[in-house]
Amino acid sequence: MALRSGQVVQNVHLFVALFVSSTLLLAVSANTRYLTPAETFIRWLAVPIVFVAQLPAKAREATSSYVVSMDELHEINDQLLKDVSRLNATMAELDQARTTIAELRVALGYKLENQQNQILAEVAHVNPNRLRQEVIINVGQSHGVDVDRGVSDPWGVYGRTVEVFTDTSRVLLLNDERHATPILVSRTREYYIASGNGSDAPLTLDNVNLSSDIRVGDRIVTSGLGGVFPEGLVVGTVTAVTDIVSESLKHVAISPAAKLNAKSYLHVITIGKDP
Amino acid sequence: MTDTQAWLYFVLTVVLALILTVAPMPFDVPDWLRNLKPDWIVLAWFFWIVFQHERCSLILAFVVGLILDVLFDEPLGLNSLLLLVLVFAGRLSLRFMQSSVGIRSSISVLILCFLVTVTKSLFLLVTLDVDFRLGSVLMPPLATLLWWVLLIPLLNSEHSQFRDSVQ
Repeated sequence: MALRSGQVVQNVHLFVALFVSSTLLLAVSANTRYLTPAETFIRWLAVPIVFVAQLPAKAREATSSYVVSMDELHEINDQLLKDVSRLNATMAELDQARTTIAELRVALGYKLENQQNQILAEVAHVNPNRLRQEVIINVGQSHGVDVDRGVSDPWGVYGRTVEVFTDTSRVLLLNDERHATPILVSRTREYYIASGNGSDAPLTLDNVNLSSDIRVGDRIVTSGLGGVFPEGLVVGTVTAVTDIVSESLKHVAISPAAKLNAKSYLHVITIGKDP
Repeated sequence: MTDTQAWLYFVLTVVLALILTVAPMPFDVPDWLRNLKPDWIVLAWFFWIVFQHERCSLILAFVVGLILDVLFDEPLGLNSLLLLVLVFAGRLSLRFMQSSVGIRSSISVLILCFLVTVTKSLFLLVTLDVDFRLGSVLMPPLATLLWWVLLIPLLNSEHSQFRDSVQ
């Protein structure tokens, strides 16, 4: 079925009209929030697509949770018992340390400003866009989550909440190019900003002077500045330090401690606010 | 194939492409396999442009683009603009393909997918300051090309209406 010349002209007119409409939409939505209601409506239309798309992952998760051999169960149970025993010992040490810290605070007259609470969360959806490192977690406003709350996994800093809905929140991952974390180098006590560089690249530190003593293997923790993360959360470890003499700066690469591509429980950290 | 059946298959293919685009890959999938994920949208639409281009309505492309914008959390209009260009340019490329689906269609799909990926990356670079990475620009077109090559025998089969569509 070939296109007749009349159809071609009609198609060109339609193409131009839709092209202009798309461009206008793009200009408005990229610069203003006027189209948010329309986006919400289209998002509602797309819910069945997202639901069906997540079915294989959910089925896999369900079968891996329920279909386990007895041998595997015994192995998991043994490992859990060992973990519980080890964690009990650690907890006893921590209790002792906590008591000592409380005594020291009283002795020094130090007043604790921020009470830290954590809300347990799980990843509900991963943004399929390769250029964005974002996930949706299954806790939102109704659970006490706000925008700009730190999120951690059992190994370290994971990201921060950037948009909060009633029962879910959007989390920008630590390695996203728009994410910046105020950090502290544990050994040297120097403050820097760690920036994300996408899924395949390590984090980097901004504006590190050539005179800095930062070395490979240094532990990087959050500085507590900015109020999103509490001080002392593990961010990662320095994996490479390169001098860039022409810019009088050092290029510092950091491997994140958090397992950003692994499925695990997350904690939304609410500083100074009850969940 | 009746007209109703053809429309049904077309809609199902487009919905399936949307689902495959959004479906998360398991966390333990190795990187090389992750890189083989094609641009399902380009693949599905280009298939139908070559197979029965009259089904690929520009209005439908615009609507599907809006859904993609929301699914990808990108500014409204970006994907609809790219999909419109894809459909329009894809139809124009039918003349270039002439009477057989083979190397020429593969070249077309590679160029169109590359243009879509590069345009999107450049837009995100300008608006969101997201780094322009050669790997993320090159891999989707190459993976799409690989999948397209698998589709060519289907399009060349005797049931294909390709020849009718380009006469």
